[in-house]
Amino acid sequence: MREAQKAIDIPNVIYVDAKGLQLKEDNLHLTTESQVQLGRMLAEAYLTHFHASPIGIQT
Amino acid sequence: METNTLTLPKPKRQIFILSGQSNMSGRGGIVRAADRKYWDGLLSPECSPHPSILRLAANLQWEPAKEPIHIDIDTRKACGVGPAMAFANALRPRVSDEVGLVPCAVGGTAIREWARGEELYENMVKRAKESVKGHENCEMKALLWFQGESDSNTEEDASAYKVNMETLIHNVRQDLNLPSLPIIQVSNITTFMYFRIIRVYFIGIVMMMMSVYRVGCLSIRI
Repeated sequence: MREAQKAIDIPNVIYVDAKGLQLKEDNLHLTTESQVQLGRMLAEAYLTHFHASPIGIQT
Repeated sequence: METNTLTLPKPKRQIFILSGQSNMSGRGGIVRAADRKYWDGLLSPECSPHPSILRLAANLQWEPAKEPIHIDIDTRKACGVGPAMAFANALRPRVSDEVGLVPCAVGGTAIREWARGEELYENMVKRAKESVKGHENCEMKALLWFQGESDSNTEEDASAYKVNMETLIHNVRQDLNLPSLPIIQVSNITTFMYFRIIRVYFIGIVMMMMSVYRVGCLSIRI
């Protein structure tokens, strides 16, 4: 399943790996702490791949 | 005393669609009581509200965003903390615009329910269109997608997932008229093997119970 998700090769489609994030006792849902971590990972992925560098900070 | 009549330009708003199933909706902090499940209300600073973060409510009106973000969207289950507020709070200082969240995720849904023509898909497209309609300062930036656990139960569903997801991406981009809309997929946290193991255990337990039952029947006859 994860392989199927990773195999999608379309421009501007990226993949964030949530494996390893802490799960609740039900083994299905993320805890509040891991959701915060995932939110940060999503922001980082967005900024890295899709957010143009502000003028003046370009390297 | 002079009054300042200068009108400030309306801030820009960057729009993000949040979709998928329960882990995008948010179950963080959901606790079980005797007869129901509810959110414990605990927030870390990273997922606290901020005046620059808004969400499109089920009634298609913008309002200040706060957890649970999916409260009026994923209505069949108790909603708790998802990734959206932490995402918006991490993004906000870097983009220096407002962040507009469009929650669409519904717990327990399989990818076939997000096919074009299905209620969930059509509602997501409608909400996405509405979020930018008539607001020249609003710009659709990305779709965040976290779904797939419901498609991991059988090998058939899992093997069809890639094509179904590619179709979904194509359809969303076409229907929103944004051919290169950025899409961020979150991988499954569980694996197919996990469900297979559970299934093997379950079948094992059933078989064991059946043999116990047979032995029981035999001993009664004896």
